[in-house]
Amino acid sequence: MKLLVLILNKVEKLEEVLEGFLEAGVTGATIIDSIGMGHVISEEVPIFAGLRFMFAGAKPHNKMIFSVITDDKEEPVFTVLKKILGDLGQPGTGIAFTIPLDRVEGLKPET
Amino acid sequence: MKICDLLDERHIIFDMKSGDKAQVLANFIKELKNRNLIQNEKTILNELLERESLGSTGLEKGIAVPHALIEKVQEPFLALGIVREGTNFDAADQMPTFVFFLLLGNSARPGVQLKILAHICRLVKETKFVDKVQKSENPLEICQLLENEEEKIG
Repeated sequence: MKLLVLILNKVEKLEEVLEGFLEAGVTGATIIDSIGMGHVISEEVPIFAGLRFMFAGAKPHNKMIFSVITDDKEEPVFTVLKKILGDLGQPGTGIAFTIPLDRVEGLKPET
Repeated sequence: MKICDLLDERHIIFDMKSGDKAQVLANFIKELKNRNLIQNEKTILNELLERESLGSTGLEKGIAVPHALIEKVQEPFLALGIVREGTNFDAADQMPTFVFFLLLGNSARPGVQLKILAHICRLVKETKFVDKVQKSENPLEICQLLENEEEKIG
């Protein structure tokens, strides 16, 4: 089992991402409204105002999506994410990663 | 990250004249020029004022960090000035400003500037550096003080 974490900066793609998850067999996730460091530093801490250009592309808000997935879902999820979001390396797109999990309880069995 | 290596005794100016923001910065730059520590003083002053126009660099606790990125400044440059009677620098807490860290960096390396600025912010918030600077009596004391206070924040 793995924990999939997606920090989605293109929040307008949220519905498509969740639809993509469903297509990849991921039927559950937790979504949190979040805010990026770049936005806070450049817009809310005045001393860094002169270096705002370093955080170009930082969106005011993003979404963090967590999902516990079986190992076999990892590749399909990343494949569908690339189709929906394009190159995640582009600024302002998002970050996705997985973490191996030692123990998981509470998941509904797949149907 | 340590900034005490950037601040030798010649970079410390005691008893700067008070005045408005532009006057304080102009006096600071003039004194640094007189000490042959900077060149392109007009460009530097303009860039500092341009940065101030985005919002004051006056922090809380009586310190300001005027800063600018300058094409011809190759390495980070740091100077410290003290206005004993304080001056209105539009600080975040609306209190007078007594201590000025002037920071110049290379415009092609803004990441270095960001690191130093963040370090100074932490130094100000997590130590009594500003209070102690105001009670200092000579530049050497300030250099030692900076080194000691930086040790505390790692």
